Amino acid sequence: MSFLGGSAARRWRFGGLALLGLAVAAWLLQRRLEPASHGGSPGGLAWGILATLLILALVAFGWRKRAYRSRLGKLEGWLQVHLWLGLLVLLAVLFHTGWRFQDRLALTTLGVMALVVASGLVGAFLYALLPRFLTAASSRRTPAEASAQLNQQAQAMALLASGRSPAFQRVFQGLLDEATPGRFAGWRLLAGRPRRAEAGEHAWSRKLGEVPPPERDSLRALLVLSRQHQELLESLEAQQFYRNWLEVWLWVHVPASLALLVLVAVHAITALYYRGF
Amino acid sequence: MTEGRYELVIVGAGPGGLAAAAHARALGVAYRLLERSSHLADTVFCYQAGKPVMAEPALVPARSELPFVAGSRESVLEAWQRSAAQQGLAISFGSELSGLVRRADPEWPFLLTTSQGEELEARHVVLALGTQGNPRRLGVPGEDLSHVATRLADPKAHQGEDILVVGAGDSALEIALALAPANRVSLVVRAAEIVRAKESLEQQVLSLAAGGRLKVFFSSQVAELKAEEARLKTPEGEVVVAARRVFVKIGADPPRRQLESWGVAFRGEGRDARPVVDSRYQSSVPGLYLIGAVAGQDLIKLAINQGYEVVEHILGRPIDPADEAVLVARLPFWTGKAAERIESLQDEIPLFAEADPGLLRELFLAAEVKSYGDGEEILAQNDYTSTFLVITEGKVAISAVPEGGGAEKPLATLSAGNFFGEMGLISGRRRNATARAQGAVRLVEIPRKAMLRLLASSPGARRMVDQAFLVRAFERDLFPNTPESQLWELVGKATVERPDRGATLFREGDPGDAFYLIRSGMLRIAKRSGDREIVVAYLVAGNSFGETALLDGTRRTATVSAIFPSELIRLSKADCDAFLARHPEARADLEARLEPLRLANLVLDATPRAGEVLHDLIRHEVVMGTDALLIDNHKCVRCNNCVRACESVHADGQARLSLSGIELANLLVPNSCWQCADPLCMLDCPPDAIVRNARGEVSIKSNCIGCGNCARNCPYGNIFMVHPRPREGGLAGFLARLFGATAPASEREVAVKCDLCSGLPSGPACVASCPTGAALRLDPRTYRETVERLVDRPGGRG
Repeated sequence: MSFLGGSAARRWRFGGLALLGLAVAAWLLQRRLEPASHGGSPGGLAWGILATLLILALVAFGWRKRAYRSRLGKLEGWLQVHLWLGLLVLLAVLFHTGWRFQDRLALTTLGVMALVVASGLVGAFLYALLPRFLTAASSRRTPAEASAQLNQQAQAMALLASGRSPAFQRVFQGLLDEATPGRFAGWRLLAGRPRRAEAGEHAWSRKLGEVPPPERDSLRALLVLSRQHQELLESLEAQQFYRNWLEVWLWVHVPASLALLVLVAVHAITALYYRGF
Repeated sequence: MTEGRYELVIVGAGPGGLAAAAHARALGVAYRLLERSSHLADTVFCYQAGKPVMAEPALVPARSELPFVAGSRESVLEAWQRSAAQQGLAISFGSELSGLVRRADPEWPFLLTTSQGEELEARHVVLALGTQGNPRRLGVPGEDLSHVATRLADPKAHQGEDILVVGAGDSALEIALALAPANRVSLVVRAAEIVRAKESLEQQVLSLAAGGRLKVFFSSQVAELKAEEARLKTPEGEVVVAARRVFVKIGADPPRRQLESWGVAFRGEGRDARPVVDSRYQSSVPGLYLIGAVAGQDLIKLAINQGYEVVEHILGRPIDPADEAVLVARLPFWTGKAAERIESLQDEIPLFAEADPGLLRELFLAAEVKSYGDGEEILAQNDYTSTFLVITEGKVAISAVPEGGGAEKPLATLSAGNFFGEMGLISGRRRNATARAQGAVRLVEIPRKAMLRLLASSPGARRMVDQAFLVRAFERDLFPNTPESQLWELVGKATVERPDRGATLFREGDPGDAFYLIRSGMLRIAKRSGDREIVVAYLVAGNSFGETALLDGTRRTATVSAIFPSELIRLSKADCDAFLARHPEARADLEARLEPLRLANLVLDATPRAGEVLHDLIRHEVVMGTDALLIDNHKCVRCNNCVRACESVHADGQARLSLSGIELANLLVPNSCWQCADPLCMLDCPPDAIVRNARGEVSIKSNCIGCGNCARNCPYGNIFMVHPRPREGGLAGFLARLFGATAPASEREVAVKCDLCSGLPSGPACVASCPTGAALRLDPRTYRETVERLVDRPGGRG
């Protein structure tokens, strides 16, 4: 069961849908009373004020997430509210525009808001989908356990290679390079897990041929260790792949939310200043 | 030929006798003090060297010319010898009382004969005999072997020996504790727990046992003693332990036959029976007084006070007992002397009616009278308090949230004279119901240990508590809507069964023939699923099972076996049928109660995976916990907010949980304290820094010395040794944390564990700060439901 299927989610699904329905009904009523509605009309202004208040409430989620002693309910409920109010705010802003999109600042604000809402929806989708895959990928080792084991293996490999011939060192360096994450490895993981060099029979016999015969037994041990190292790394990367996706949307959602706050403030001030309110 | 005439002859120069002699001398009363041994205070003299002598009860003042302060055996004896010499007390050593006759002579009614052939006439006689000369015997083969003793002279004389100590009183525990550091000591305790000894001694013994430095055999008895070993009957079966030395300290009895031959009457039969004495310590023989251990008073300070008081009584000077003021203050809502107040309580409360007034004095010294206003909560369901409560005025409403959750349901209304809290008393488990005052209520709240002592000595009170336990269990588990008055019919039909560890009570498919209630111990309920047996429940004291057998033609749906030695109350189907025939309306009540259980069985059959996870929870002993943290990995987005919350709400900046632990299907039981029902971490904490509050939360106080005993004792690795990293508050602290700056860690190492964020109104921060609801606390009453809800079925979305 995902976070969208629990009892809190069910309660808020009902509440959220009711709120959205109510907003649409209110807008239909407003259309009748105020056919030429726009951002500065009384109805449009009311939607704007509502949207601003909703944005502030949505931002409060970020505060609650870090207010660990808060008595204001569980964070689980806050997230459900955050989701539904996020959808509601988009409707409220659209109703506020009166479907007129001339003002560049207002349009930019709307665009950023759409980005915030869209990234939020993507986040909700990822939150609902990925934990199950991550659990399957991490069922054998936690990242901490895997990291500790990787370090041990790397030390054992270094010990095997120390004092060997330059050819042995080259093979060792090659194995190390394969196992070393490059720059932006974390970001690259988002595009999929890296394919590693083949470590089959052929590749191994080629590498064994590169080193002097007395060192081949040690190289065999090194290759076995390297293979184990690689498997472990792949398991860690599989976990990290899902972890990165669970986090990456926040890199859009949070900065866009902050930008939105600024834009809303500027939009409100300019509207009030230039339009005489 | 009469050797002398005395106003008062005192027999026994123990603390009581010495105090009586000292006070008689101070008042100028002609007295004679006889002592059969060659020294003062034979009982204390026979203590092991260096044994600490307590001056309890602390609340009661000492009143005597004889000094007494807590100290070592030697210091106490020396103080008494010095005092006796200074006061010039005349003591006839080596003079044992061999005959006592009450004659018709109104002036000198008593004729006493000593072992030396001396005859004395007395107006009054005080027997302060003690019980040292009459130790209880085991009654097993080998008891008279030379290595079996009833006293330990000097613990230092024993090094590296295999020693068996038998008994669970103060003396036995003190001997075990004195010998344990330098020897391999086993302690045999007849009961399932240590009831009679001082709690401080009990804690020390349990602590040594937890550390493997002392082996305790509970619910066990000695079957045979041999030169090098002892054969024990334990719940696990017969066990042979090495025993080069055996110390038998199972108490001592008053010399009943001798006392009865002198005309002294006893209250009741059996070895706990005491001589009848009135409030002036006078026995059933006018002019013959009994004080100290022979009258059942084992505490030295109280025996000394009795010695003082008995002389006052003999002289006809009214004097209140030393505990009078304390007791009067303890019982403020009754009138008269403490004895009269206790008598009033005996009239009002049937439970106390048959109890010995002396025992009740001890009980009320430990008890507290409390008042509650209308609607006020007296105790809450699931609390870990263990006091026993007796209603003296008003009404108390009992209600409970049913297993599996739901709205709280009223169970009963108890009126004055009734009692509750018997579940904690009998099973030691947490409260199973909530009690609230209905109108103004007054209660006597009695600590568990004090009540257990009363029950051990008062069969009538024990019977009443047992019966109430049964009736309430029948009402709760079988007939929630049947009047209590009818349920009393079932009480007499119940029998007791005591399965040993591993014993199977019945198997799945067996014909059902009885319902069981667990009084103590632990049982496992298992069902077959394919070719393996999975455990579906794990029942502890206070629970019941086998209900469906009470309906017609039902076979057992599970196999039940004892995990630990258990005591069960059994109600047979035949008896239940007879009851239902007399009360047909109760059948509908029973069927309504059993329908959800049938459905639960069907659900269980349909969700074998949940059963497997439950089985694993039991295998990993997570069920030992009362509030284990559980994370549903299919909901967890790995944001780590739970760990950050934990760090943030603790002043030392250290998290009490780590997101690694036991993984069962999609559930993770992280390394975080489970708040065990029986917390082993508490057993060996030198500064007593680990405490459990009424709600069952176990926490470590700031006086932790960082010894690490608790972390070692926790079998689940859920206590962490850390260097506190105090968090800076305010904006500066916030900014510092924002930029990743951390405070330097203290050099001091301390133990930390999850304390369920006690003090935080929002509850555990980890749960409150989980954005997806993946973190939850596992309530032991709803294991099965929780696991069934959370475990994903293969191929499904849950």
